[in-house]
Amino acid sequence: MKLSEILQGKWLGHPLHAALVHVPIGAWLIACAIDVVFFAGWITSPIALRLAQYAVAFGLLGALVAIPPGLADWMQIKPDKPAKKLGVYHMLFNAASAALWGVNFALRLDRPDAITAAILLTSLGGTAFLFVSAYIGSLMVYDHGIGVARFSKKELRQRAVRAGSRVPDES
Amino acid sequence: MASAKNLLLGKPVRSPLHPALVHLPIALFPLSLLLDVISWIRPDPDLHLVAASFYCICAGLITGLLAGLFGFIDFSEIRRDHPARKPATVHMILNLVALGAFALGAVLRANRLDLEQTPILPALISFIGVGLLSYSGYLGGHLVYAEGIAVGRHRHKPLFPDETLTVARGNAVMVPVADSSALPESGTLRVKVAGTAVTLARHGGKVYAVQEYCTHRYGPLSEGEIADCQVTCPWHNSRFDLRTGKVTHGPAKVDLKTFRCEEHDAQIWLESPAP
Repeated sequence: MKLSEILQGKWLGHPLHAALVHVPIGAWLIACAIDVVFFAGWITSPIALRLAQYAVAFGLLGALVAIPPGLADWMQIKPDKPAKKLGVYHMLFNAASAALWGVNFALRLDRPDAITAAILLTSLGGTAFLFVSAYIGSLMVYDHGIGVARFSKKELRQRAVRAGSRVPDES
Repeated sequence: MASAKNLLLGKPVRSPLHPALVHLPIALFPLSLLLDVISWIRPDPDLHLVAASFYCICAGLITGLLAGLFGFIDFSEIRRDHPARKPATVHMILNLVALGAFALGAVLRANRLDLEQTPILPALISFIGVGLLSYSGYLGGHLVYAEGIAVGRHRHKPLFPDETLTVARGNAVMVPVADSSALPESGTLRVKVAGTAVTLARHGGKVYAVQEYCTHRYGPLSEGEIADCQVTCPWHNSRFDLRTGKVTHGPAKVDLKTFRCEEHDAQIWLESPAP
């Protein structure tokens, strides 16, 4: 198995990138939610600040791990497909989001006892970029079918043959 | 009714909502387990690891239930005889069991948030819960990436056919397969005549019949979009002329089989395929 295939998740049978992105998306969303309610003064517990800090760190780790499989997926998309361009935007928004969350984490280490305006802004900005990029990612899958039937095409082909459908020659 | 369901299926945003919501529980439950582990390695009251882990589970439960609601909607749109129905059912059961386990764990944790280390029993429950969730998440990935569930669904404006109409081969050349009223304009039916799967589609009042599976990656054409007398595969947007089966847009390169069909006596009649 080639490196690109390992990164794409051939051993798993599914795209690896899609499985990994749960971590940054879920963790950063919850961190942002905590930041907003803490900044608004609805909660004041230091536990919330800690949880947000852990979530941001967890998200950063997850995002880092999700990059190589994401690149491997993108490289497999043919250049003339509309999803290729979408992938570039997806990548740019992810980079912007991850950078903001990186800054956010550094700011938190400086001020672990409060949500400052700078922490809130990087949190909101990181989430906004993430939202756009995640939505583009979902369009790549659900609108353009990227990664769909990539590893299951043999089984699907057999299913089609059994049901009397014409199929292309095996290549 | 159909339009309300289409909304819950996420068709206006071209994306299903269950997969968008599951990011939260899938990130939160493992994060909670990670915090438990760190609480054993570095017990320190200032880190609030045990309490943070508890609130993490609570947030996971709330968002998990919300994701589950949309999961039921997505589940209900899988055709009853679809091969994905079984993994989808297992996916649902495992998720419910995992949520139950985390709820139990949360109850066990609730009164001991000032501890420095997570006790072994709730941590063990979380470990099992994360295990269940991992496998169930894997099945969710299978549903989307191996079976194409919800992929391109938004382009098929009516709801999907809820089952395959199965017809045995008759002695006659043409066999009745469905009432005319069962197939509205731009709608589809999935029919199996003597084992051959056929997509019936109505366009401009006329009924057309083509093979069920796309010739690119074998996407289900009965779940495709019907427009301009063409069917578009829900998965990778290959397009075929309904009259001739010819490819009008790639990535598919091979034309579809077409089947003769007629409509009379308020019924749709399909050519019985050669044995």
